[in-house]
This record gives sequence, structure tokens and C-alpha cells, in this order.
Amino acid sequence: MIERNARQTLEFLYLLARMELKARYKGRLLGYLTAVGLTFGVAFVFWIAFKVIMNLDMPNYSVFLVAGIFPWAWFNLSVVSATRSFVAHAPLVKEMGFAHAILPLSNVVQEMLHFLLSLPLVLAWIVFPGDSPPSVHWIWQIPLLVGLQLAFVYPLALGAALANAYLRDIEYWIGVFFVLLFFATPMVYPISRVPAPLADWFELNPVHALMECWRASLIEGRFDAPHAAYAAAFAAVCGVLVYALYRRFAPRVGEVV
Amino acid sequence: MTAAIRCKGLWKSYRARPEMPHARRWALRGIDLEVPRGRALGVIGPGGSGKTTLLSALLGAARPDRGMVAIDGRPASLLELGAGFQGHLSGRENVYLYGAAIGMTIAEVRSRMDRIAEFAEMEGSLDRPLRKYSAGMIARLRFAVILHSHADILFIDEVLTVGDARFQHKCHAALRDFKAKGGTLVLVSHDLAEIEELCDEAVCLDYGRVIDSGPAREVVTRYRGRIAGRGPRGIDVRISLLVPTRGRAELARRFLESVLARSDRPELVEVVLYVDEDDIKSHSLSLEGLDVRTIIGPRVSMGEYNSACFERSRGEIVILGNDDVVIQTRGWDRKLRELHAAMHDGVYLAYPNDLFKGRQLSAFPILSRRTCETLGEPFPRAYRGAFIDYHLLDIFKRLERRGHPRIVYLEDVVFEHMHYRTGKGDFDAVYGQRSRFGDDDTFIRLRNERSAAASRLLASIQGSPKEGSSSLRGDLLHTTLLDPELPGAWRLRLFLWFLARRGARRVL
Repeated sequence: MIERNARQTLEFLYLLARMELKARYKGRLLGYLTAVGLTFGVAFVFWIAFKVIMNLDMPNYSVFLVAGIFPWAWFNLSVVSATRSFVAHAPLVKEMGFAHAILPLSNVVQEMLHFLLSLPLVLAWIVFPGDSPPSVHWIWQIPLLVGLQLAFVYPLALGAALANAYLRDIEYWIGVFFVLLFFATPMVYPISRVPAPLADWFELNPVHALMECWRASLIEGRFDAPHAAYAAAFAAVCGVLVYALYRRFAPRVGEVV
Repeated sequence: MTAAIRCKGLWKSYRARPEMPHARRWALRGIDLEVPRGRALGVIGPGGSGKTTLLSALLGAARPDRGMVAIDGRPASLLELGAGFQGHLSGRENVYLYGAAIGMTIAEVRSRMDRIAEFAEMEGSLDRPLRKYSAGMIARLRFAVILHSHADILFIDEVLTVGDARFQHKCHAALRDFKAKGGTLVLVSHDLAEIEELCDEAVCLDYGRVIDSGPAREVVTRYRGRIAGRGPRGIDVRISLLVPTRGRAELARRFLESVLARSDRPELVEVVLYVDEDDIKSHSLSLEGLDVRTIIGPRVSMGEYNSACFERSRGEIVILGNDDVVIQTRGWDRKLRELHAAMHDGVYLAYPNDLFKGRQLSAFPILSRRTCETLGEPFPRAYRGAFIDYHLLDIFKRLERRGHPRIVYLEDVVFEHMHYRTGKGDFDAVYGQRSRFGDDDTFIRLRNERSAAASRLLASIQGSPKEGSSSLRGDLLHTTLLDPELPGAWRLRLFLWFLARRGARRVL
């Protein structure tokens, strides 16, 4: 098994993330704009569906959509790609030993970097209509929320990768699961539109708490402490649980992938 | 002299069947080894004897059930072809990534990049995306990175057989150099000459035990004797490659050259080409040193091409090939002969790794002559262009369902398919003229023939008179999803595949 120190781990992470982003943007401004534009495109589709077709009565709907959908994309894409990370890199996993926990982390970090790089355009989109002025509190809120989401997503990504190594079909179901979660968070309509008994259940969804934090901060410059605390608590519990599972199951990952 | 690698009482098992957690197959049964620093150990033995498991256990990639492994040094391994490499990144980026994965820092990779590129002989092409590389190039690059890492213990499994003979010599020289500097090497190979050349000691495994050990030359000599003792069938059998070609003389020549270059015993390999009458350019295809027989005839169906080639062939082992194939594995013919010898009744469907469909499909089926004769019409003439691979696989899936798994995927025998869809070949008239959905109905119609063929194979394995084949209505549902003779997964796959093709046929 290859031993490595913290510096080598960071370097490997950096290389993986940089190269994936470079491949995604094709090393050009146009590639970057296309990658960011895709997420805007998804938001636009929902805008058409809910605002134009369903006639949803909500002011600043496009701002609501965009403020949520970019953090969501970071969350969703990183867990989905991490699910395959052990299986897709099976030979590397066999050779890396315990260090393979880096692989799902690199998926999360890649999507995080993409999120950070899209952030200027997202903020411009929110500020431009004039209803949500830029906030000085962003300076501390955004880094805090990025840290929170990183701590929130990584255990899930690692857990999904581990589960998929043992039970191969997870990678097919995870897409379906995320569609369900997308509407149960909810991402495309405010929770106030959800009928009462159901809405209480939606409030229990930790992803909802995380997304509410982002919307509160990006749209209103407000720090949503209760939701942040709930998301942080979930991240902590999930982290401990996944760590225990990882300790138990990781040694055989090289054999089952 | 201190030991770089030591293991004692190593036992390792795998679950024999996923649904039965207590049924275990023992891949290693009490292995003791010691490799002193600066020495090379060869590991030989028949397929499935535990060589690769031993390597994984020494590396720490597989955890043994019992016993201990102690490694004193910095190991690195070459276990699988192209492992750890990403197709969409450039060669240079892959070198960084792979180097970092095996424990080098970025600065170290950067400072050694020139030497790595030089060794791999690809200074000019490092910035192209990896998916444009041939299998040989990837293997060269990977070997070069490993060689320039800090590793002082190398584990190598069967990967040196990719690439041309000259590069292989260079690898051997580099490995000798590595050893001279105090490096330790463990080499798994079917190439006995390679073991003799590179290794000091060798162990021979069978059924997970060390059955012989000592100086490499002696172990290899005794092992050769043991293989030869299996009878005359294993050693001198002739191989026939059946290859219809049309309008692609350059590709066909490239194929012939790869056959000659990568065969251990080209004198025991023949290629039977079928060339259309009007394809004058291909009429004179030949290659010195290779037995090429050309049939010139009218333009007919794929099944007829194959059948005509089969009738002219003499080999005990018959392979259906394509002109857009390049054989990448040195000693591929020896591996097939070994397989042929191991299958005592000669009933099997083997297929090489085409680096395209891989395990998914027997794109280039390998059959014994005996199997072909039992099948009667191994390559039905009714197939105009496609589905002969599916047809054969389907017959053997039926056999598998009746308790005789005889489908053998040869991952380490690479017949690289330069199909245009892999980006390695051009889309030319041959692909364009093909009727895409012309054979779907034929495949469904021939279901009862496949059922009967499977029964004949079964009878030939059991040596008993033919037992029941069945007759079913020939529609899509009955030949796939509802066919009780097929394994469930295969039923579902066929059904969905044909359903999708029907949809596509309607749309296109």
C-alpha cells in the first residue's frame, strides 16, 4: 500500500480537480460560460414551466430559482459523480489503499470550484433586478456556507461511493432519488406552497435547511441560524456514521470494485 | 540480505456465489514467500491458479483471510492495462495524475516528465488526449511513469506483453537496470521466456498452493514439461483466422502484419481471407512469413463469407476476425493454445478483449473446430451483416443455463477493434453500406436452431444422446424475455436491446 502524507494528498486532490475543470471548460472562457450557462439553462426551463405555464404567483421567481439551483447543482452533481468514483477508478483504488477516500472528495471539490467560479455570475443575476441589493455580510456568510456545505456533502459522497462499490445498482437509483429530493427540498417552488401536513415533513429534510441558508444569504443577506444549525448537526451525525462505515468496509473496497 | 517482501501462511478466499455467503472459493491456500532485496521473483502457473490474487494480497489491495504480509520498501504495481488513466485528459495530465496517485509530488513529476516521455517514446504526442492513443502507447506511458517513480518494489502482472518486441526489450533492459540498483521485482507472466530472462527465482502455483519453487530456469523447465505432459493437443494446434474483407486493403494488411508480429508461432497460424471479385486491390493481399489463403468470390452475406472461409480453413482453433482489427498481445496464439488444451472436451466460446465492447460481447468469437462441427452451421448464412456474435453467445448462454459455463472472456488477449465508433478508424463505405436492422428478424427466427445447437453441445459434453431442445413461437417476446432456456439477465438484455432497435428502426 502506498503511504502518503497530507501534502501529497492535497496535491493529488488539486491535480484531479484542476484537470477535471480544465476538461470541462476546455481551457477557454467560452467553455466556462457554457458550463455556467447550462445551470442557468436548467433554471430557465423551470422558470418556463412554473412561471409561464403553471402561472406561479411569486415575485422575483427567477432570483429564487438561481439562488438555490447553483448550490443544489454542487450538491447533486458531486454526490452523483462520487457514487461512481470507486467503481470507475477501480484499478487506482486497488493500488491506492486507504487513500481512496480522496476520490469522492475530489468530485465534491471539483463541483465546489465550479460553484465558486459561477458565483460572480449568480450574484450579478441576483443583484441586477434591483430588489436584492448586494450585502456586506456575504463576506463572511458565503465562506461559512461553503464550509458547511462541504462538510455536509462529503460524507454523503463517500457513503454513496462505498455503497455503490458493494451494491452496484446504487448508481442507477441515485439519479431517481435526486429527482425526488429535488422536488422534496423543494427547489422550484417555495415551501410555503406545499400543503400543510406535507410541509412539516419537508422541514425535516436537511437539504432543505441547507438550501434555505443559501437563499436567505444570497437574496436577503440574512444568516438563517436555525437552518444552518440543523444542517450542521446533520453533517456531524452523518460524518460520524459514514466514518464508522468507512472504517468497517473500506479495506475490502479494492476487492469488490 | 534483508527481505523486501515476506509473507507467511497466506490464505485468501472469495465468495463463490454472492447469494451463498458461506460457500467460499479458496484462491490462496497457505503461501509462504520471501523475496530478498534486489532480486526478481517470477510467478507462473495455469490460469486461475491464484497468481493475480497473490499479487493483490502482497500489494495490500486484497486482504488475506489468514497469514501475514510484510513489505519493506515503496511498492508500485502494473496490474491492469490502462489502469488509472483518464481518456479525456492528455497524456501529460495523465502522467501527473497517475504519478500523484502512486505517491509522487507534482514537482517530482515535473522534473521527470522529459525522461518519462523519452522512455515512452512519445515526446511529440504527450498533449493529445489519451483516448487517441493506442493500447500499446498507454502501456508504454504507464510503464515509464512507474519506472521513474520512487518505487523500489515493482509488482507486474502480464502487462509487458503489450507493445512491440523492440519496446519489450527496452522494458526488460530497464527492469534489469532497476534490479541492479537494488530494486525488487515480482513478475506474473505466461511468457515463460520472459520469466527465465528476468527472474532469479520462480514459484509455480496451482490451486492456490506453491507446487514448485527454486531458480527460475529450473522451475520454468519443469513447468514446460508439465504442460507438455498434458498431451499433444495443447502444443501444436493450428489457429485459423477467418476474415472477410472488402475494399480496405490497407486495413487488411495492417491486420496481417499484427498477426505475424505478435504470434509466438506464426507457422501455426493461417488467415483465410474472403475478397469480393470486384475488389481487385485486395486480391493480392499476402504477407511473407504468414500463411494467407484468399478466396475470391461474389459478394454474399456475412454468414456466407464466414462459412466459405471456415470451409477452407484447417485449424483446430477458429477465430472470426475483422479487417479493422489490430492484434496487440504478443503471444496471443500461445494463450489460445493453452486455453484450448485446458478445455478437455473442446467445447467453449472464447473471445478476446477488443477494447471496445470488452466483456459485453463476443465480437471476435473463438471456437474449436469440434464445436463448429457440433454446431453444424456455426455461422448461419442467413445473417447478412451482424448478429453472428450474438447468435453464438446466445447458444452458449443456453449451455450455461444448463450448468456448463463455457464462455471464456480473455481480457488479456487484446484484439483492438479500430471501429470508427471508437475514434480509431474512419467511417468508410463498408460501414455505410451496411443494412443496420437487416438481421434482427433473422436472429429471432433462428431461435429454435440455437436451442437445438445448445442441446447438441450439451450432448457432446456429456457424451450422452441428445436431450430435449424446445420449439417456441418465433416472436420477440418468446425468443427473449419468455425463453426459459436463457439466463434471466441475458433475456432482459436481449429484450431491451431488440426493443430499442425496433424503436430505432421505426424512427430512422
